[in-house]
Amino acid sequence: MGLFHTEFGTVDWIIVAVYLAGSIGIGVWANRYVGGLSDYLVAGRTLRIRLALATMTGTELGLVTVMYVAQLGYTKQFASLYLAVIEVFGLAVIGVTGLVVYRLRQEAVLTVPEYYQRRYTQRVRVVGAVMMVLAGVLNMGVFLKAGSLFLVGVTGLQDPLALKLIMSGLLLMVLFYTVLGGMVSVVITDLIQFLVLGVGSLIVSYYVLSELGGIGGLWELSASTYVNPLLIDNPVTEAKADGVGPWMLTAQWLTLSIAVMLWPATVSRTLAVKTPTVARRLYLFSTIPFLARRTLPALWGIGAFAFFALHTDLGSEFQQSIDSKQLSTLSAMPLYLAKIIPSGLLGLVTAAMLAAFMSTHDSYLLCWSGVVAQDIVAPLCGGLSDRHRVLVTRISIVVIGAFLLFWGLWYEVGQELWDYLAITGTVYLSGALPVIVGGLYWRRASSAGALAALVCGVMGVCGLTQVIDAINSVFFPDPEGFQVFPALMMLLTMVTPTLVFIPVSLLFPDRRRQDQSPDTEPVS
Amino acid sequence: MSDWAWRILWMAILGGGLVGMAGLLLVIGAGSVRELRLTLEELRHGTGDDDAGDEAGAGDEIRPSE
Repeated sequence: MGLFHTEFGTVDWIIVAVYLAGSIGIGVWANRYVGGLSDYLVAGRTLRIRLALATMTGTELGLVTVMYVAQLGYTKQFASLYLAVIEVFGLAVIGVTGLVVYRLRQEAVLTVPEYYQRRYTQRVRVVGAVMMVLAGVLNMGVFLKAGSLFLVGVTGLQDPLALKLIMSGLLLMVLFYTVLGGMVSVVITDLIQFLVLGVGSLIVSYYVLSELGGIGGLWELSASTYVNPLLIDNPVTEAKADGVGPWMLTAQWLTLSIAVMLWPATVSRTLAVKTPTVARRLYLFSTIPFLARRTLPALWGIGAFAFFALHTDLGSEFQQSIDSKQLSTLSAMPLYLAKIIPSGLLGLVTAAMLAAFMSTHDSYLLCWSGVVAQDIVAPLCGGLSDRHRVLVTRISIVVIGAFLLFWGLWYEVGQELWDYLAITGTVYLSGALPVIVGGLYWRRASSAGALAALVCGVMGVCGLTQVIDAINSVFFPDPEGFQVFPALMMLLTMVTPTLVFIPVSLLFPDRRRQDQSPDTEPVS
Repeated sequence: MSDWAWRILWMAILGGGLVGMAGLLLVIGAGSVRELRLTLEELRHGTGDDDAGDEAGAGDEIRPSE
């Protein structure tokens, strides 16, 4: 059995093709329900709790999530589960208290930047929207590559051209139904994708657990792997600073706690629910799917680690491929699944993962494009009709899709995928935190403070490996002395906008509240 | 915290994820299809987007029996 051996056969291709065709058909059919802008962007705010929860799970349990959580499971085994604890705790706190999300939903806005205008000024809205789209599209830029690595591993398809064509085709399909049906088609397809994904993930987990020898086998495995995330050195690899450690744990705690509250794709679902109470409940109930998304793929990654450790020939072949940069640890999980799941079921699992791929792409595309139309183009043009806003949203979906294709094909992720996502996410999150929370809870929060905080968010790109290497080579060239590292940059980026926001707001207060000003682009 | 305690914690977390996903499918699956029908009805008749306070009526509570 070679490294690229797979059980994926003709029947699996048929299952995948039927599923994809069905998704497109439903997306097109949903177009009949789109009556206006509110229908297109937030499905007329008609979502109730179960449907919102199902679609939120479909969105947040994307293929990219599966890939990066499994990668962390492979590289850091059980210790990687600390992210699940942070995320679930953050959601539970919001769900119980309604912190931020309740008041945000009460504002009855379509997008987060729209709130910026309601609370501050139109300029804050436009700057906030630009930062949000920049962070979101950069963040989303690696989704396509993660998806393609999954397909390579599972199907054994190694022809780079065929692979690029398949991934481009998938992206085009998502673009097609999202452009046509907006949030209505996103909700319907996300629901189906949630059901397929839920069943698929349980099937995979069953096979992984069986392979590991059941719960007893998993318990025994935990004795010889990395379990304590407070240790900065991973005892399995014995490499220096290869683990999590207190710095990274703090940075991730801060980033993830803010992300669960303010990440635009999540907030867009909050804004689409029927009432503020449903928004709060949505967070409380979301602890379950978010726990699942952080644990099940980690289990598969841990399974892959055990598999390659046990099958030493395959393990060394895989390690050689990593050393020669042909593969990365991202491929461990799909290569593993291709060998343990029988044909037929593997097609269903692949369909489930492609469902995960599409359900994330459609929501994210709609979210960022909605922001472009609502919060950048419309204010700058002095207002647009609903028909034109839908048109601009549709054009933006296509433009962002083209960028994703371009970025996904050439950008090489220099660090673990999750670290890249967290770092690009901070570009938006670090600025949004003081601007939204300050706006909702602090009367003296001002537009000048908000603008300064949002612009400071650009510092987030300093966390990318390429930028850190450049900073170290210029300012800290001695590898034995002090050097900047990703966790430190993440913390600095997260904290700086808030530290800037408070004094600037106090020094430059607003003359009057924006919601009293009649001379700007109307909200909603 | 000893390694043993960490191992217990991670096993509980993994178990929670597995049981949670299975439970979610059972509880949310069928009810969400019904809610989708209601949503589509409202969109067809243009009755959505009505911030009518917190008492949203049918469909807001999760009951496994549904």
